[in-house]
Amino acid sequence: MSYNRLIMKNLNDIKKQNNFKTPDGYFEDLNNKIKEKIENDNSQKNNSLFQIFKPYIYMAASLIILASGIKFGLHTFVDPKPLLTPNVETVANAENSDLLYELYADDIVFYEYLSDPEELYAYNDIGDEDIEDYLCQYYIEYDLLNE
Amino acid sequence: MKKNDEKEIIEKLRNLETRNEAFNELVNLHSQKLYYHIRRMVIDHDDTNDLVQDSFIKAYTNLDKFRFDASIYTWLYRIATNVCLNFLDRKKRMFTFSALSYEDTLADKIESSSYFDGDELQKTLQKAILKLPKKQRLVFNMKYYDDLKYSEISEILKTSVGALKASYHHAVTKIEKYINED
Repeated sequence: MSYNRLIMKNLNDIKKQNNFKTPDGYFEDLNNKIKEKIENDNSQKNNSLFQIFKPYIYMAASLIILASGIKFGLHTFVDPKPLLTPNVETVANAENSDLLYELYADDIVFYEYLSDPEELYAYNDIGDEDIEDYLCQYYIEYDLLNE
Repeated sequence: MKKNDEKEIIEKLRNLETRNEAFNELVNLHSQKLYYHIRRMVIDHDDTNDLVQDSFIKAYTNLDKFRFDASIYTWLYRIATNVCLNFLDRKKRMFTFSALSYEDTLADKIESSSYFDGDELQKTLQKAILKLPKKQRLVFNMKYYDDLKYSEISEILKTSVGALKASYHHAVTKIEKYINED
C-alpha cells in the first residue's frame, strides 16, 4: 500500500492549498509591466496611424511644395505687367509709331491689301503659263486637270 | 469584487478619458487570480508571466468588444483561458515527435521547480491533475481551487452546467484513482 493510500481515501482528505510560488514583489512588477505595455501599445497605435497615412501626407506635402515653387517662379521671372495692352487708350496715347506698327503689322498689311483695287484684281492677270508653272512646281498632273 | 466596484469600473471603462485609470484598477484587482488560474494550467512561472501579460493586453485592445452589461471578471477569465488553451495547443504540437509528452515535462517541473513548495502528496495531486484532458483540468481547477460557481464556469467556458458537473465528477474520480494507485 502506497504512502498516499495510507493518508487519504478521497480528495477531501487533501488539504486545499496553493503551492505555486512567485518571486518576491512579483505582482507589483507584473502590474507595472502590464501598465507599461499598455502605454507602449497606445503609442504604437498612434505610430501605426501615421504609417497608414504617411504616403498621403507625403503626397500632399510634395504637391504643396510644387505649387509654391511654381508660384514663386512665376512671381520672380515673369513680369506681371503685359508688354502692351492693345486697347483704345494705348493706341491713342502711343507716341512711338514703330512700336505700333510692329504690334499691328499683319493687320496693316491685310487692310492695305484690301484697300488696293489693283491688288484685288491682280488675279485676273494670271496666265496659263503661271498655272502650268504652279502645277509643275507642286507635281500636279497637268493632263488630269485638262480633262 | 463587489458589484458596486465592478459597476464603477465598467462606467470608467466606457469613458475614454478614464479608461486607462479603470483598466489599471482592473489589473490590480485581478492579476493575481488570473496568474494562478494560468499557472495551474501551464505550471511554469515564466510562461505564466508572459501569458498573464498577453491576456491583459488582449483585454485592453478588445475593450470595445466587451458587452458592458456582462461581468468584466468573467470576461477577463475567458480571455485568459483562451490564451492559455492556445498556448497549450502550441506546446503540444511542438512535442508531437518527441518521446516525452508536454505533460511529462510539466510533471518534471513540479518535481524540480523552486517555485513549487508542496509536499509529496501535493506534488502527486498536481501530477494527477496534469493527467486530465486539458478542458477537464480547467473545470477542475476553476471549481476546486478558484471556487467558482458552475454558472460562472459555464459563462467562461460556454459549456452547460450539467456538462461541467459531469466533467468535474469525472476529474475527481480520476484524480483519486491516480493518487490511490501512486
